[in-house]
Amino acid sequence: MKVGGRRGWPTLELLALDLKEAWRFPIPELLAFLYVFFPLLFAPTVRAAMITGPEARLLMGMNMASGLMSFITFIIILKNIAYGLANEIRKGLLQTYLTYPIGRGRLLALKVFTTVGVPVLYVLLGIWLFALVNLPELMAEHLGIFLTALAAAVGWVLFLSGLLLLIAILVRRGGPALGLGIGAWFGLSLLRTFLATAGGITGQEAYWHAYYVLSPSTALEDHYRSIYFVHAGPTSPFRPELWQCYAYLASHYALAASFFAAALIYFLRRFEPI
Amino acid sequence: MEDVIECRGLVKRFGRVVALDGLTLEVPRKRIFGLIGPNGAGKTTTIRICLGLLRPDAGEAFLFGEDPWNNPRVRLRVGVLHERMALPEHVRAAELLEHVARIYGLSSPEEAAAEALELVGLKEAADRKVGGLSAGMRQRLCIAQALIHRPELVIADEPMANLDPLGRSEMLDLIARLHREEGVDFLISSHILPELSRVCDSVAFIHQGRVYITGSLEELMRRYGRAFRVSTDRPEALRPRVAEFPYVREAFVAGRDLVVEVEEGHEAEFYTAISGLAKELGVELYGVESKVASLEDLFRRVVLGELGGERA
Repeated sequence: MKVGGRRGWPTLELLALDLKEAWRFPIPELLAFLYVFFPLLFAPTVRAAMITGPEARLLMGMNMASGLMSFITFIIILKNIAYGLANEIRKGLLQTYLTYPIGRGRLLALKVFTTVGVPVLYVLLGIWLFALVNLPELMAEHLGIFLTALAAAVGWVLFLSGLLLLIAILVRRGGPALGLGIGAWFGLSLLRTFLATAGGITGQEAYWHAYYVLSPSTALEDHYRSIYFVHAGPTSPFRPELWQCYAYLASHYALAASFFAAALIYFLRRFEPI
Repeated sequence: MEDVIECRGLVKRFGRVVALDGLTLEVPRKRIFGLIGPNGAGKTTTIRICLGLLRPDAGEAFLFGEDPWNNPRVRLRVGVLHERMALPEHVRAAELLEHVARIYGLSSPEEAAAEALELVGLKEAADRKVGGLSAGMRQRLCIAQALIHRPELVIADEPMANLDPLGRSEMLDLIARLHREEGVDFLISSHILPELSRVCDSVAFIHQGRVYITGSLEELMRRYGRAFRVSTDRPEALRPRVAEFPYVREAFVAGRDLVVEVEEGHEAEFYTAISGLAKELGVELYGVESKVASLEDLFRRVVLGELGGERA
């Protein structure tokens, strides 16, 4: 047997091992059941909804599907990163992986896929399945809006995941990482509420811009609602244009990417297992 | 021929604690090299820097001539065994080894896993989950995964930890056999010196983050290992005159005895001379005992100051 003789995929092999370790029966099966169950659960509500305008109807349906899914997924990611990954660092499993002939960047990428990528894929598939079952014509007709809303729906989860990842590899201990992660989550949620409230009270657009950067899916909803719910009035006095919705989404992803990039740079240059 | 490991002036601090204080070390090829030192001496930190797990605050470390932090592929040539090594808990032992074999790019992972399990006596536990194995069995599994790709060098940090006496003996036999038959080099860190002395042919004594002395065990024993313990009523009176003998390296008072290091080949001469000197000074001589030091004696004497702390 010759070492390195077989043209192998060491990173994918370690990913396979890590996935087996992290996603054991019955968690993936339960999640799959739950996310398939959502389309059936909300189907009557979506079909009965009296909403004018196809885009608004599509967005409302997707919002209905993604809300609970995103919450459950975020809890799973919180557990995977703040508790799972940080504990792997403390217990030495990450150190074991670092002794294999795999670069640090690839190792972090596979850990991100295991802890964040898999749950996010569940959400994406869940929302897609939801729309496919309940709003197939709308989805086909407004594919661009569907994809944008899909990206916006998982944006917040990715945003928080990036922050959690950074915290976990900096703190390197499960308990404190979990505490800080929950703290960051609540803090950012409060910040969003504060920005929306301040925007509503003062009427200053800057608050709304900041709010929509943190919540691009709301921006999209407000844009379409403001067109179709003329009588009900928009959610915010400030009505974002579609191009602004794209800008909010891009900014949101840029912020999320900056957390992941900071985590990667730290992992490549400074990270030392305990 | 390049050294398997080369460290130059390594400094590593953890907060206020200085773990390595300018450590310099060369581990040549074709050796079972022992890294010896008490707990907290800096052995594990040295090993982790050599594997690219830690980055030194100053100095350089090379593994097969390459920087291990930036060249992960150099670890294809190395097998690693940590003290209390963590492994995935929910996979079967054979399954884990098959994955590890594929990570190292072996052509027959199933065959390699079976061989490795047999090598460490874990064939019967192949289908058991890693989390369900006893501490000793897990340690054997760690050894199996360190050896599965038949590395050129095995770096083992306290490899005998968690093993029972029989397991430790088998482990030492395995190390000796792999070195002899397959030419695998070893860097073994331990503070259990009697066991290390069974297999190591070279050692480095580390204390307070520095290498005090390094060399082949044979050479160190020849230099420092032969000592005479002279029992007398006035060791202080004898010491300065004994120290003037041209073949005496070191003479010091230990309790009520005088301990004398003598160069090889001058033992008989020393016996005659010490008797004459005792008569001349009117000192009572109760006995002169020759002894070959153990690795533990050597460590105590070289590092803990009884020979004045010579540093590499």
